[in-house]
Amino acid sequence: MKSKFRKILCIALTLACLVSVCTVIPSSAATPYSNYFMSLVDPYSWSLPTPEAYQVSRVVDFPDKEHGKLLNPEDMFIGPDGRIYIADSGNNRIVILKSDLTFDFAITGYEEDGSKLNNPTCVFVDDDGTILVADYGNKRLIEFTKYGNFRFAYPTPSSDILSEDFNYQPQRVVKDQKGYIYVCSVGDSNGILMLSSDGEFRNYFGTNKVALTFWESIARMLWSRESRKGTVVTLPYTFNNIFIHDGFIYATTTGYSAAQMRKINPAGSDVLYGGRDFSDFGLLRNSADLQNFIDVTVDNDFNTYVIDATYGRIYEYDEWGRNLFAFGTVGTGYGQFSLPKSLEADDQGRIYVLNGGNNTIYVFEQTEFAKLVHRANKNYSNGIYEAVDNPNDGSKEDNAFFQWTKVKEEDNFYSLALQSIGQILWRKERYSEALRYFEIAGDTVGASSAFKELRADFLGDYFSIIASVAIGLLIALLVFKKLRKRYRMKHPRTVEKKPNFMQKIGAFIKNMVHTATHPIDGFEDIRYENKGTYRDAIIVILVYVVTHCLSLACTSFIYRGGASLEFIDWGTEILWCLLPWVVICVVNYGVTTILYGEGRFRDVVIGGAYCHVPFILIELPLAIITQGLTLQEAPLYSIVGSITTAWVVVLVFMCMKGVHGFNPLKAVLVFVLTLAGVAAVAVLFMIVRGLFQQMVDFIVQFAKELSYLV
Amino acid sequence: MFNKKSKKENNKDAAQIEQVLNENEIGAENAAENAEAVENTETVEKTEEVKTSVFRASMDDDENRKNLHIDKEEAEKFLEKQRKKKLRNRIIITTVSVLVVLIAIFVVYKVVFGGNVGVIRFSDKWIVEKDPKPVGAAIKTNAGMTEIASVSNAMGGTTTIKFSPADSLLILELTNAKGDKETIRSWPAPLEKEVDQKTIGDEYPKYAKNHDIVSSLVRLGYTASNLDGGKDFGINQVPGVKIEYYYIENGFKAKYTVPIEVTKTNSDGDTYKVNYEFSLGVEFYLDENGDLIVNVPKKDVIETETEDQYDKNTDEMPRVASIAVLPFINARRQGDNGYYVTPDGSGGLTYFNVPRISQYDEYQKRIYGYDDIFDVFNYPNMTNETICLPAFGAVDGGKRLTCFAVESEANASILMGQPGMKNLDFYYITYLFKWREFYQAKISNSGQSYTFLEIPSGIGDFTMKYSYTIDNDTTYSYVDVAKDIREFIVNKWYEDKNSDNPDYDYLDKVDVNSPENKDQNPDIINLKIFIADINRASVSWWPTYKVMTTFGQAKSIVTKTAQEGLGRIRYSLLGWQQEGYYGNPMKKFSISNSVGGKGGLKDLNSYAKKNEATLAADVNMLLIYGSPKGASLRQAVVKNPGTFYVNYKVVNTAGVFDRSTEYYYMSPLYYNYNMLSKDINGLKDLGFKNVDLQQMGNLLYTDYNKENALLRQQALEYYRKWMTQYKAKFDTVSVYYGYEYAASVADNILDIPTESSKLFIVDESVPVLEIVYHGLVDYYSNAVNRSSDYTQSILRSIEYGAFLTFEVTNNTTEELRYTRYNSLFKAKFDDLYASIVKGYNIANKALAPVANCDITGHFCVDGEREGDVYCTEYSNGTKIYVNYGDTSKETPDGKVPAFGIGICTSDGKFETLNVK
Repeated sequence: MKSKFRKILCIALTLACLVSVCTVIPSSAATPYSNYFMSLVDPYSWSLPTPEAYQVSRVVDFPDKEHGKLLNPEDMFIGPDGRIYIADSGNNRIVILKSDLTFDFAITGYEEDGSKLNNPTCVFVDDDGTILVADYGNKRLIEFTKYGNFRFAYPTPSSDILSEDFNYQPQRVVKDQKGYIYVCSVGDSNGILMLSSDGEFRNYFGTNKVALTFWESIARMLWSRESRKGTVVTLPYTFNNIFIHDGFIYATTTGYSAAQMRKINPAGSDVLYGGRDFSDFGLLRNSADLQNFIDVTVDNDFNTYVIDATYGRIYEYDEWGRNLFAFGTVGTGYGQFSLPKSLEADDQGRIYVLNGGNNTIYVFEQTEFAKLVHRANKNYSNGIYEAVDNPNDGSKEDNAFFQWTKVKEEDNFYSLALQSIGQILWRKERYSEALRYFEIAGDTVGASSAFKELRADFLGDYFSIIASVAIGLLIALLVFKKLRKRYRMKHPRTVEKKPNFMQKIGAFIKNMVHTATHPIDGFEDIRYENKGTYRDAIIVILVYVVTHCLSLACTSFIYRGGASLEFIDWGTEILWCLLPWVVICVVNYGVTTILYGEGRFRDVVIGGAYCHVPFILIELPLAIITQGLTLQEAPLYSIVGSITTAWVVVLVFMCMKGVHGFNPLKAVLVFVLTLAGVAAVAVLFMIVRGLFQQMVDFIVQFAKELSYLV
Repeated sequence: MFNKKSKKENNKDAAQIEQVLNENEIGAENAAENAEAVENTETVEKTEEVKTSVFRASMDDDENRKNLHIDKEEAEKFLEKQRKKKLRNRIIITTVSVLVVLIAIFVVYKVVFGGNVGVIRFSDKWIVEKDPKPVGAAIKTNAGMTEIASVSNAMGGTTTIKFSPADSLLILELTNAKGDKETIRSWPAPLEKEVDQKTIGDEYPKYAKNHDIVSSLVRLGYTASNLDGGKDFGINQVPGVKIEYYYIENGFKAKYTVPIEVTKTNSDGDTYKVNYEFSLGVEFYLDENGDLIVNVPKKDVIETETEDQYDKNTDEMPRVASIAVLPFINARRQGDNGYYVTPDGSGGLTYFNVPRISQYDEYQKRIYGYDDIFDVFNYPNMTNETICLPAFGAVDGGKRLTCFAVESEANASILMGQPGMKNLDFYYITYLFKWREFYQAKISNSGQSYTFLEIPSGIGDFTMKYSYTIDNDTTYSYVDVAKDIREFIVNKWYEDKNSDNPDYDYLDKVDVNSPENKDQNPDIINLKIFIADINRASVSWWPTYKVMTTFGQAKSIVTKTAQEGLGRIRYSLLGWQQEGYYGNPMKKFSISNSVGGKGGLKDLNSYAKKNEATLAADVNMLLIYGSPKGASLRQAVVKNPGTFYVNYKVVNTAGVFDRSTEYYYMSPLYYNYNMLSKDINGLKDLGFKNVDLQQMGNLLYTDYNKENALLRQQALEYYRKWMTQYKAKFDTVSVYYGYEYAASVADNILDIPTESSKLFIVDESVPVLEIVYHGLVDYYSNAVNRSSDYTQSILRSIEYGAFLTFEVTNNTTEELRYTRYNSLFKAKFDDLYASIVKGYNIANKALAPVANCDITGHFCVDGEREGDVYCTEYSNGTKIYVNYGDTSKETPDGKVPAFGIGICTSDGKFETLNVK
């Protein structure tokens, strides 16, 4: 009774302090942070700006009075009744706010019944309002009724499975509908502790894999476990936060591996977008500090939100893993984060961030633009593509197509709008329009599917004509050949004419093709018959460079990975056409000189040039053919590409064998040594390049310093 | 063939031949044979030296020459040629040798002996440095409250200045014509509780400790060593400070001598102490209007000479860094009524009676914006509206203060604190004058930056003016503060123009802005037409030029708006240069044919002229995107005091600085001498009649490039000077954002800020800047179609009296996504056309009739602050209401529709407009 009275008194006093003084700062127009999104289909992995998506509508603060202000809060949770629960760690209490963000009551626990909280770091509320707290300072989980009455303190888990040095430090806790409790214990790299409803340890859940670096992997291969004793042990990353939604556990990990955010199914597997890397490359490209995702939450529309503490960014993903928005920044201004701790989303589309830097809660409200995007995406998910698709009200505006079109009007290059409009048009069998949208969005998959339908339609309409024309041309060609043969038999050439320019070109091509198709004779002829000249080699290489560039230009949008032609670095492409030839020739000549090869340098150079013939013959036609291919035929494309490469490799081998007169075994040896030599040159080049850059840098710096002095 | 033998061998051969010839012992035949042999022998090849020897030998011996078949004339020519060659070689060798030796000596001198790396001395042009006022008798330091002076004030009453040296307390006693009285203290009176604490002393150390800070008349920033990061004390806190007070005319002067004791260690490891000191004097006096003037004369800041005092071994450099005078004269306690008015962006209010979120850093913003030479941020500062006006204010019922930075304002910051900061219980606001700047520099390639203090100080006198007004029957507001500022700056502009100082002669060419000089029929819409930019992602050899609008299409836009009868539109061309908006400013006038070329632009200009449309060229003046073409970095680029070129940092889409860019700030003096006339002539050649000058109104920086050293205070005068030169050649000159100095001569201000910074210490945005400028100079909002909330943006522009701006393109803007100009989300003219027409009609009805009026009032109609409906009153009696709410609202003059505007003219006629 006494205890109850004290509790009521405590609540009343606290209430008196807080009830009317949650600071509310109204919204303002422009946001003091960047707003953008990361397009999955963008071929350059760039962030693209968007109009403002979320604005701070309120900042919830508490008066600076005794027991009033939050102190080092660690966690926040929005309960099923809309109330907000805050683990106010520094004040050893749980603060409960009503849904209108005014103070409701606080739970501190009591010494008498052993419920006194000590540095609570997490609070979770289940469907019936039971409040589960990770009482970190007391190394336990503790449960309160929805009115804040102490119910139960869970025992420290024990099991044979747990290691001897198991140290239970519950930091985060959630509970599923079956009553299983999931706990993140600080420093436990075995995974999430799964406890039964009475706190018995059941198993580890969703264990992370050890992320080894390349050198660690090599060390593991080379040294035994025994030998590695005493070295630093690499442990799996530990989870730093968990959230439960729709039976799935969402978790963020400390450390900086890929799959920083996971959606773990009951079987313990990550099912979130293939465990991809959630790093913001647009940001990391220009900044050295790594990101640290510290909390994740999911709203009723299955949009997932994750917050990065290093840069103060919030990322929103839709249920397909497409990034809708990224926004936020670190700082001490209005709406800027300093030590963000926790992130929540309510059913009104608002986002709440517990900001540890100034012990406040920021409430972010969607802008009209974000609302439009969300409505459009939701309608698309629900299959309401056009007005007629909406069985509910048939409103002309409440459909995905209309809304995505509006989004596009507001932001001409919001790729998701372009992509989604394309998808809707595709579903409506308006393939050519869909293709156009997919192309603007850079969506190769969508473009491929639209093109496939267009191609099918085209072939359906014109196949008979095309086939007839093709057969007609074939017959005409055969007849022409037959007639020409007869004519030549009747009128044999008696006098050898000096070949004209075209005939010379024809002969050159014939010789080129002959070498590529008859490499044994072809390469030996270079050495022993003195066939081929430097001029021929240069022509072959130039033709290769030209065909390579043309093939890049002619490859279809789909097979170019959605990249625009203007982003091709022609200089690099040309360099890579020439560099392998030069390096291999030099290295091979060096190797064969030592191994008594018979080939001269000119033979190696000319032979090397002829090795490019398969590229010349296949690359450009293949690129042109891609104009008629979809991604379904990509394996075919790859096979042809692989065959071409294999052909070139064979030619290189035959060239080494032919021009140097080696037997096959020695040719293999030379081939391997040449490759090794090329690798050595590459390494040497890297070293020399590094040194050279340093030298240049030194000279430049020295010159600058001198200029400053003068 | 001549090179196959060594020179030595050749000389030997030649000498042998010469010897033989000289001895005349060889007959002609033999000589010929020998010569032939020499020529024919493979081992002994002919060299020029040999040839020279032979020819020389043969010159005096005709027979010999004949025998050798040498033509005399040819030989002479050859020898002459050889002589010249030899002479040339000798000159070259001597010159190179001398140069090498000189460079070597120079390098040795600079590197080994250190040399003076060149302390940059700034010129004193536009730097005010007056003689300190003559001092009279000394005031005893233990004296109690003493009346210093009393003068009549502008309110019709008197202002008396009193000072108590014992308490470091300055008091102003004000009366007005009605007999209202007010006492202003230089530091807030302690609460009763605090007084008790003071008497109890150590038992309540909080007050005792803070008393020294609070009662200090000066807050001083200084360093004892270059690497100690600086100290920041109230002057009374500084250990061993010596303070003296003297009477001066209508006031007194405080003289401070600050001792700095530095402990050193000698080579034996023994420590010893060295004493340094510096002194400064501060004048406090009343002017003829009864305003309090605070002046720190440069001549009274005395430091030991650099070379004597600076110890390289210990890097000691005791120096004054910053000075804030009377830091707590405007202090207020939490819960007090009233607020501070800061000119942050459009203007911001900081209330004393609202709950405040804890902050650790004081609000400190430079007047006229950041100086990227000194202000270094790791991450972009996005709360970044800047300060346009050299003034701030404080309002409390019938009492208001307006404080002006009178001299060296470009080196002053507004400093504001809230309770909890510096362990103080007050709100406070003051100017912090930067005597010297800290800057960051790398001293190694490791990337680690260190903070240093600049050595020279080119700053002049620091002068502030405190103007107090009291009237117990009135409730003052920020509008009154804004009016004070307006009056102050207009007077200042005229003072500059009428000044006898020849430095200001350039202002004779123009009329500084005033209501009388203002354009009576201004354009009410600014239509920015965006032409093109380069694709920044393009890695090919030919970067792609993304054309959004050609000059021909721009012409169509002009035609279409004209046909609709939208006569009062000004058009501004953006990105017309060869490389588009982010093109290199050194090569502005090579215009791409893909947008229409020079011909197209000239044609567009003549079309605009023919149709009497205002078409302006947006001109990038000082930002160099890429390396400076046609000039070296050294000539053209700004350096910081550490002699590093300063990069202009671009924020990338993801909100961090883009490291891939090499952009720079151009040295203003380089622009002055090398670019100004070229730009003016180039723009005239293209037929432009109007110019929108970037950077003039929104970017100010110091330049430590030794070639072009320039202070902020000087740079702003150069800007004004250039603007006058542009004004002489063009019909109108516009600037962006609207710093005060630029507003003095600009015809228009574009993209004027309509809100304050997003900081917790700023509670509310108000139109201070707009109240100051309205009726003096025309100003335009940011492009409303760039805003995420179009309706709110229009309403805010109307509320603040800003003409509307739209930014349009002919094409949709997808292709801009990989350019730097990638936040123009919707701009297609055809799509925006209806909005432009609507915006025009709104501006025409709401703003055009009051374009030449002053703003006389501004308030929230439906609440004390942060309501839905705001009213702006103009000097012609018109009231304009704007309703941001989604329901219609009643006002004293009529009902304003939701998201709408109500216009009440002086005759009581009320008209409404819908914006959404």
